[in-house]
Amino acid sequence: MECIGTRIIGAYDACVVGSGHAACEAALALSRLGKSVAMVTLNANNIAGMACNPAIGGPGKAQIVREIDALGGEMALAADEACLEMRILNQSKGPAVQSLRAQCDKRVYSGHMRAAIMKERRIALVEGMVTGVLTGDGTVEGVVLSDGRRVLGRAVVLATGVYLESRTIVGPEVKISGPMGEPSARGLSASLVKLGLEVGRFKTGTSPRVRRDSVVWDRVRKEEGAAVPLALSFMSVPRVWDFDACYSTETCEATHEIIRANVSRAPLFNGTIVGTGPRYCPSIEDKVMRFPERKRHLVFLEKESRDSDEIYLLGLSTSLPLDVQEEMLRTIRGLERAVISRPGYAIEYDYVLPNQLKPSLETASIPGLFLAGQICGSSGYEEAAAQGLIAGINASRYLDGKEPLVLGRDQAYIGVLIDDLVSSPITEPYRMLTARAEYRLLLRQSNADLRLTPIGREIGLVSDERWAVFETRRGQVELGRKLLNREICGRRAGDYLRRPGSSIEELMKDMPELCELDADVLEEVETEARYAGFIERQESEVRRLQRWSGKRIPPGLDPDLVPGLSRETKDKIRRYRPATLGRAADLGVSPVDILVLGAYLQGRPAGGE
Amino acid sequence: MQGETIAAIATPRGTGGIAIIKISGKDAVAVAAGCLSPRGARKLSRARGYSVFFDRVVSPVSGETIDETIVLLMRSPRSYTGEDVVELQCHGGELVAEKVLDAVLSRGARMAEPGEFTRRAFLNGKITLDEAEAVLDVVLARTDRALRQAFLRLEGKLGKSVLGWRDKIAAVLAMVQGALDFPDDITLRDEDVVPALEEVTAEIDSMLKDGVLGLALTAGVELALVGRPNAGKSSLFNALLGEDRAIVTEVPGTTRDLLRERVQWAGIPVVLVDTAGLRETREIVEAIGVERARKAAEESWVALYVVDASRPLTGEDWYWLERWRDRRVVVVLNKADIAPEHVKRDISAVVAVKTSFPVVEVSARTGWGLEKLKETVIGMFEGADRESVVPGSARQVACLRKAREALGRALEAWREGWTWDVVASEMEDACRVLDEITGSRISEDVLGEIFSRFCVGK
Ligand SMILES: Cc1cc2nc3c(=O)[nH]c(=O)nc-3n(C[C@H](O)[C@H](O)[C@H](O)COP(=O)(O)OP(=O)(O)OC[C@H]3O[C@@H](n4cnc5c(N)ncnc54)[C@H](O)[C@@H]3O)c2cc1C
Ligand SMILES: Nc1nc2c(ncn2[C@@H]2O[C@H](COP(=O)(O)OP(=O)(O)OP(=O)(O)O)[C@@H](O)[C@H]2O)c(=O)[nH]1
Ligand SMILES: [Mg+2]
Repeated sequence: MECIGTRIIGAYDACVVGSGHAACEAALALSRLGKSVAMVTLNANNIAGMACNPAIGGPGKAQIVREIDALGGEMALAADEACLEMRILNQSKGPAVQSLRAQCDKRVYSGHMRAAIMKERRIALVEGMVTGVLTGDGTVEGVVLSDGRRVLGRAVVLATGVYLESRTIVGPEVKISGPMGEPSARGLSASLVKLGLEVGRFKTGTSPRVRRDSVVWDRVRKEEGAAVPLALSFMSVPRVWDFDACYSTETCEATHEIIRANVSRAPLFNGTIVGTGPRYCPSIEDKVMRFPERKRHLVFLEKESRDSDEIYLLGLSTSLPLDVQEEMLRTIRGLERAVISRPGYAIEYDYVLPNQLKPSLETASIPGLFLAGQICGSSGYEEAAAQGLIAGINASRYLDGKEPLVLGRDQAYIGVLIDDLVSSPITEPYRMLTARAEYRLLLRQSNADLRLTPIGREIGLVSDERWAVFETRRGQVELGRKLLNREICGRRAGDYLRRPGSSIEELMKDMPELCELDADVLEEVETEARYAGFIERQESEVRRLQRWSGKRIPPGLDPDLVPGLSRETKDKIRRYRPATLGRAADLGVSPVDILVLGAYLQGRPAGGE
Repeated sequence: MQGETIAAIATPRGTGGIAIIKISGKDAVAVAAGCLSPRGARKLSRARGYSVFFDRVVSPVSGETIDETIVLLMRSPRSYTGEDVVELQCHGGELVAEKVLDAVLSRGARMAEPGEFTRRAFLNGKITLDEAEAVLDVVLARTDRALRQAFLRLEGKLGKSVLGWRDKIAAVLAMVQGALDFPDDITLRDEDVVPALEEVTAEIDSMLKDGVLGLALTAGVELALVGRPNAGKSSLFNALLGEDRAIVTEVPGTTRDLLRERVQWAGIPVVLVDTAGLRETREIVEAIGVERARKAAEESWVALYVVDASRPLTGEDWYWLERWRDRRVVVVLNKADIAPEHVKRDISAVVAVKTSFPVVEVSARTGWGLEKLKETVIGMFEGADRESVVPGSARQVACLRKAREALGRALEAWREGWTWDVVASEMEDACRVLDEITGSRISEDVLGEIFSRFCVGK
């Protein structure tokens, strides 16, 4: 397909730039919806690479993975195939926050994604560095590469991750480079600025890797995976994953002393790093300086793949100089003689301020140009993949002239993620937290399919096979609900479950039909019944708030047309284009202006005029 | 700033010392200048910031002088509404004030709607929602105590307490959410959650207790006098009032309609309601009266159940006392001057056994026991001797109650071993409702409801 000599090397329906987690979902969605796709990447051998820890899932993130799966995305399938060990986090803390976390073999994960992409005959993989976006009449027409080649596409999805003008930092050593020794992507960011987009600078970091044979394994604790069969994808057969992949140890006072003594050499604290880092994924130097009262911090030792010689040290993200990293390890039980194979480093990169995007992830100013993943200011594989999927779906719908898919905050974590990104000020790399979802009792990982698979089906990403699996499960759930509505000894069976400590197994004696249901279905209907009171209250709260805070603000609203709005509010509306009155209130728009806006939207002015 | 300029007479109708005509809006200065002498108009237009001067109000139609006036200018944003405000202080007298207002309106101002000045103050960010409600209370305050309370609220004291609670809950919430999102890093113990929530719960409880008082302070409490015909309700009504207001005869069924009069007890506005005697009757007018009496008893804050203590209680008395067992009732043994000692003792004893109502002996005829009766009622305002801030509107009380319930559910869920996700959601609920009190989260219905209570001119 690559014809050297001509400058235009192909015309496609869409160009996807990148081959990371966002790019893979975007390209797959486009192709599966019938579009031809050019996937342009710096390194065609690095597909869906995990630059940081070798795990998929966790609180807030597992829910996203399940939602991607329910809509017909690939991430959960890849994680299941690559899984070494799976754990249920927050098991005792409630179904709303219960989250699977799969520790994965990085190579198998990449291999799965590569195969999925190769299987799509409509995707062409192109290696090269994109330096500009082509536009004509203000509309996207394709991309241009550093060597002058052009790839045409009527829609473009940029999923360039942490590569834009990136610098890596280890102590005093600053290099113009991407992650893991890859090149930095130069020029594209400037071309986006030329198109009128505003960019900012963030940073993130990763932990040192140590040689497997240099760890004293009997001085660290083994972390057991779950002993019950589990799977991330609704399409996978649950299994017990028993590869012994994870161990733990912890830092101590001596470690913290070393960090304090060397803090002046920490790029984070001496001004070398200017980008803002993620508060929720802090480096060890950050943790020690911010929480001086903590005597120790946990460190997890994770195998990066079945046969790799490298161990990832979760919890030790750092950009301190190499000699300090080595000295630190000397003080940590089990790592006293550890040999660093790759030092921890920080990476600083450009991102595009996501308030310039519509909730469809299309840029507001350039029709056909979509952004997804870390380029939008997010952080994390799952967050990236979710945006990739939505950008892919909406790029396809844009090409078809259809309305974009926008998920609500009460519908999916993905809805929360994108709404937060496009309509609130992002001041640090955005990581999903369950606390960000106000309707989290409704947004469980266990019901992602019930919430979203019908939508995925309508869009065209849910295959017949997945649909059949879904319909069986939905049928069972409905049967289970019906059974729990029946009376046992004069009481609704479901009401028995409203007591904490009760279990659906106790009901099975009196209701043998329950035994016919699959374990996951039992768990789902049990949760629904047990939390019914809380869930109903949350649902009615959703409705109550939607009466005013759910009132939609039309995306094209010119705030100057609303009489009586303060200048500050007008600026906020222009900058963040909040989708609803409630979001505007969250942005700190004064109650007064909320009223004025609400009254305007209702077609009558406020203040009795 | 709102579009139109509004005006109203800000002082009560009728003849008073002075009348104030208040004008607010971006054309306030021009409107007022149009009603002054040429010299006054010039002076006003040139004035910056606050200024006060003496002038005449001149009819724009005839050019005649309507009245002398003191002109008070407060430039935006340093005024009550945050807009340009001009006040014209004239001599009292209904006709004069109306004429001045007419002049102002003919110069392009519009008649203000009820509560519109305060609504603008709120809309222009000059006051918060709870302060706006307090303004209303100051305007409506009928007693000294009510006024003091209203001023406390006006200074934002209620808002400060609410913000304090919200912060406390939010701090616990952050910890719980941290534990949910970072399972490896944060552990939670009972003492991280329970004491703080219990403390806020107790504080809200105590404010809620006072809340009843708060409502009483602003709106006044209703006291219905009910009982069988001829028990002496109307006599007692007159005695408590200190004037001969209701008709008293020895004919049972004298009183037909409700009678209301306002008195003050310990600085609290009290509305006394005299009612028709309760009995079965075929007579249509009386039957309507009895129905009204029942409703008055059930809508009142306390019912004084008056009995003729010179004879034993009847089955009908027991019917009503039974029916109102869960309400606030004081059983008043009237005609103590003529009632035999053993009959009074018997009634007191049986009432004490069958109900938990307080019993007070009085004589409407001699006035004996009336002080004791007042004390008993006043004692029913829990915390009546406290000077702390209390919520002043039913809306605030309702929000506090909701927050209290959500906190209660959070604590219960925690203790019963419900999962933390539920606990966190309940705490979030509590924060949301507290935000509604200060108005940092609001709905339009709420605002409409509040501001429609304001009288014109405030
Ligand atoms: C050092 C480091 C530390 C991290 N730490 C954390 C953490 O602590 N917590 C956390 O949640 N997440 C962390 N991550 C983030 C996580 O890895 C990313 O959020 C996620 O991988 C982003 O996915 P993406 O698809 O947006 O981009 P990436 O996975 O970064 O993929 C970008 C893709 O775009 C391609 N590309 C870039 N520019 C061009 C161009 N001009 N032309 C052609 N191709 C281009 C690249 O070749 C690559 O294929 C870290 C990442 C790094 C690198
Ligand atoms: N001795 C004595 N007589 C009283 C007292 N209170 C009321 N009476 C008399 O009782 C009779 C009825 O009094 P009212 O006050 O009219 O009684 P009422 O309960 O209002 O009666 P209705 O309006 O008919 O329901 C009158 O003749 C009063 O003079 C009292 O304290 N002592
Ligand atoms: Mg009477």
